[in-house]
Amino acid sequence: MRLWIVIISITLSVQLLAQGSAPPAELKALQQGLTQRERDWLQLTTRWRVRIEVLPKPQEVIEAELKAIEQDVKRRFQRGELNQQQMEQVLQHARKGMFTQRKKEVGESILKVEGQGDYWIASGQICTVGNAENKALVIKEVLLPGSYVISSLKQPIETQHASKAPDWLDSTRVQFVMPEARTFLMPRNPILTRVLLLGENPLHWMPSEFVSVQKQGAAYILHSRYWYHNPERVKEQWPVGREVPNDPTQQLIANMGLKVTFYVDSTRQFAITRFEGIQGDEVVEVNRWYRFGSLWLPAKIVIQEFETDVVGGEEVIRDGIRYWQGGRIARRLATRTTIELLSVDWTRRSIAFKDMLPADQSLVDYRLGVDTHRTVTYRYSGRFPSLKELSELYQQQQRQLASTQAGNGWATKWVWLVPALLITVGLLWFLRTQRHFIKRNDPR
Amino acid sequence: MLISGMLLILILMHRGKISPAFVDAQIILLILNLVFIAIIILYFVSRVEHSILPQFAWLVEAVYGWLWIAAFVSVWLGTRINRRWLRIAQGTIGLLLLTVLITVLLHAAGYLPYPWVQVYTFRGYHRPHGLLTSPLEAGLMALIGWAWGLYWALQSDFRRFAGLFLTGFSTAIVYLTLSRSAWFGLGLAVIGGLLFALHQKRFWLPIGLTIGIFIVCSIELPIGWQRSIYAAQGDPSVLTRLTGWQGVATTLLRYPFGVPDQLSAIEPPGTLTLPGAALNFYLEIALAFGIVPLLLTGIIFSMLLARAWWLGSRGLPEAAWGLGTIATAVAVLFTYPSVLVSIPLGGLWGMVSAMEVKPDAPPRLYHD
Repeated sequence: MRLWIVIISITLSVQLLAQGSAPPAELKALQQGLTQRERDWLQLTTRWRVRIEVLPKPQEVIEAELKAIEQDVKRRFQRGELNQQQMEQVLQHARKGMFTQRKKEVGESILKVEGQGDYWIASGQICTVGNAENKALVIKEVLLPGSYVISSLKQPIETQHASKAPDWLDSTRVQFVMPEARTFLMPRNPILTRVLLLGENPLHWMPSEFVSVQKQGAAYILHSRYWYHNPERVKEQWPVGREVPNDPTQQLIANMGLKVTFYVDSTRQFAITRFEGIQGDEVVEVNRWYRFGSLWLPAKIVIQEFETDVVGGEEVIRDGIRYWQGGRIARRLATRTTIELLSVDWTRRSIAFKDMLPADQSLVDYRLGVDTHRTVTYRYSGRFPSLKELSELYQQQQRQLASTQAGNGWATKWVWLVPALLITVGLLWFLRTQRHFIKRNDPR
Repeated sequence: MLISGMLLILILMHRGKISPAFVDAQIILLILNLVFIAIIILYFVSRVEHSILPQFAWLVEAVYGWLWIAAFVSVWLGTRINRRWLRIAQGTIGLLLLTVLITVLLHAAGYLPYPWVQVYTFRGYHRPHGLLTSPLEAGLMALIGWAWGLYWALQSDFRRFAGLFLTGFSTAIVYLTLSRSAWFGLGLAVIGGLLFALHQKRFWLPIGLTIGIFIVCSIELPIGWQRSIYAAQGDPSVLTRLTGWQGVATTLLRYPFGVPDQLSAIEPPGTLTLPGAALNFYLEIALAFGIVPLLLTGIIFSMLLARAWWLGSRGLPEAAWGLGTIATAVAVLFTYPSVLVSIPLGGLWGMVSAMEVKPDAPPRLYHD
C-alpha cells in the first residue's frame, strides 16, 4: 500500500512538473501557426525589390565625430605612434569618409527566393550603397530553415542588367557554409529579413526560455530577450563593450535591457505585421499586403533603423580614463530600407538539394568564425559536421598546414635554383661564343 | 635580379649571341621537362583532387614568374640543337591543345567534364572553358591552336587539310569563349595575315576561313558582339582593368624593384595596384619584379614582333607562328596567362625566336 502511495505521488509530481514546464497555450498556438506558415512559404517563389537609403548625417554630428577623430589622431602623433605623413593621411581619409556621410546614398537590387519544400534558394545582386566593392556582384544562397546558409561564389554582373540577375545564376552551385546570420543577400539584419522574406518561423532563432507571448484579440505579441545584433547572438543585455570606455554613445546607453518584439496577426495566417528591435533602434512595418490564395504576403515592408548620436560636450581625462562630458543624446533615422513584393507564384521547378550541393563537393565552412578566418575545408558527405566536429577538423587541418608550411619553407629556399641554373649556363655559353668569335677574328 | 638575368639571356639567345653546347643543353632540357610535366600533371589532378590545391597554389606562386621564360628557353634549345626532342614536345603540346580545345567545345555544347568553382556567364550564355579554369585561358590556348592550324594549312602535303580544319575549329573556339582579349588578338593577327596574303596567295584560304567562321559564329551567336559593345557601357571587368592600370605608375614610382609581398601590411588599401590586380601580362611583370624586367620584356616582344613581320614579309609559312605571336602578345595585354598556358605560350615565343634569320635569304615558300 505504502509503495503504491509513493508511486502515485511520484507520478503526480512528474505530471505537475511536466505541466509546469510546458509552453503556454499562446506560445504553442503561435508556434503551430508560424510553422504552418513556413511550410506554405517553402512552396512559393517570390521576387522582391530591395531599396536601401542611407540618410545623411546632420552637420553637427559629423563635426563632433571629426573633432573626436582629430583629437585621437593628434594624441597618437604626440605619443609617437604615427609620423607626420601618416597623421595627415589618416585625417585626410577621415575627412573624405565624413564627406560621403553628408549626402544620401541609395542602393537597389532584385532578389529572387524559391521555396523548394525543405529549403530556399535565394539569388540576386548584393544590395550595397555607395561605391562598395560588392556592387556589381551576384550570388546564390541556399538557406536551410532554422539553420545555416550555403553560398555560392560571388559572380560579376553587367550592371545595366541587374534586374535580371537572379536568372543568370541557374547553374551556380554552392560551396561556402556560413553561420545562420551571415548572408550576402538578405539585407540589413539577416535573421529579420529571413523571417520577412522567406516566411521563416522566428521562433527558430529564439530559445523558448527567453520568449514570452501575449494574445490581444487576433494578434499575438511575441517578446524575446534573445536576438541577433551585427550579426552576433545577444541575450538579456544590450551588447555594450567595456573595451571602448571612450566611446560616448556606448557609455550613455550602457546597461540597458534587451528586448525585441514581433507582432503577429493570426487572421493573416500568422503574418508578421510589425517588429521592434533592440531599444527601438530598428522598426519594421508592413504597409501593404498581398493575398495569394489563402496566404498573406507583405507587399511593402519598411525597415527603419535609428542611430543614437552624442552631440556637443567634450572629452575629459580623469585618473587616466577618458570621459565624455556635457553631451546630449540625439536619436535620428539613419537608414530606411523598403522591400516590395514584385511577384509571387507556386514554385514550378523542383531542384533537389543534392543537385545544388552534390555529395563529394568541396566545401569551405565558416561557421567557426567568419571574422576570425577560422575556415575549414572538407568534402561534403551528405551531412554537415556539427560545430564540435568542425572544431576538431579545424585543429587537425591547422596541424597539417603547419607541417605543409614547413615543407614549403624548405622548397622556397631552393626554388631559385632553376632560374639561377639557366642564367649560369646561359652566361657560360655566351662567354664561350664570344671567345670563339674573338679567336676566329684574331689575325694571328 | 633573377628574372632580369633570365630575360637578358633570352635577348642574347634571340640575337644569336649564344651558341649552346649539346651536352649542357640536354641536361637543361631534361630538368625543364621534368618541371613542365610535374606542373601539367598537378594542374589537372588538382581539378579533381581539391585537397592538393593549397600545395599547387604554392607551386604556382613559386614558379609562375619564370615559367614562360623556361618554356621559351626549352623550345628554343629544342629548335636549335635537338629536333627529336622538339618533335616530342610538339606532339605532347599538340595533344594537350587538342584535348583542351575539344573539352571547350563540349562545354559549349553543355557538357562539362567536372564542375569548376567559377561560372562565367554573359546574359545567360555560359562562356565555355572546358578543362581549363576560365574562358580567357581557353581563348589564349585557341590562339595557339589557330597559329598551328595556319602553319599546317600553308603546307602542301596532307597537313594542309588538317591545318584548315584546326584553323576553323580554333577560330570557333576563340569566338565561343567570348574572350575579348582573344578576339582582339585574333583580329590583329588576321589583319597581319591579310597583309601577308598580298604577297603570298596561300595565306588567303586559311585567313578567309578564319573570317568566314567568325562571321558564321556571329550570325549563330550574336551575343558575342553585345559583349564587345558592352565594354564601353560600364562593364565592371573593363573598369577593374582601367582602375588597376591607373595605379601602376604610382606603384612603380614607389616600388621600382617590384612590390614586396607584405605590402598590404604597410600600405593603406586602394592607393596602389598590387600584383594580380593589373590584369595585363606586361604590367604584372613590372609590378611583381620591377621596371627593369618590364623594359627587358618590352625589348623581347619588340624583337619577336619584328621577327613575325620579317617571316611574313618573306612569304615563309613560319609566318603563321609569327601571326600567333602577334595574337598572343596582344591578347595578354588584357590578361595574364595561367600557369598551364604559360608553358605552350612561352614555347611558341621561343620557337619564333629560334627560327633562323638569314638577311640575304630570297623570298620563298618553304616546303617543310
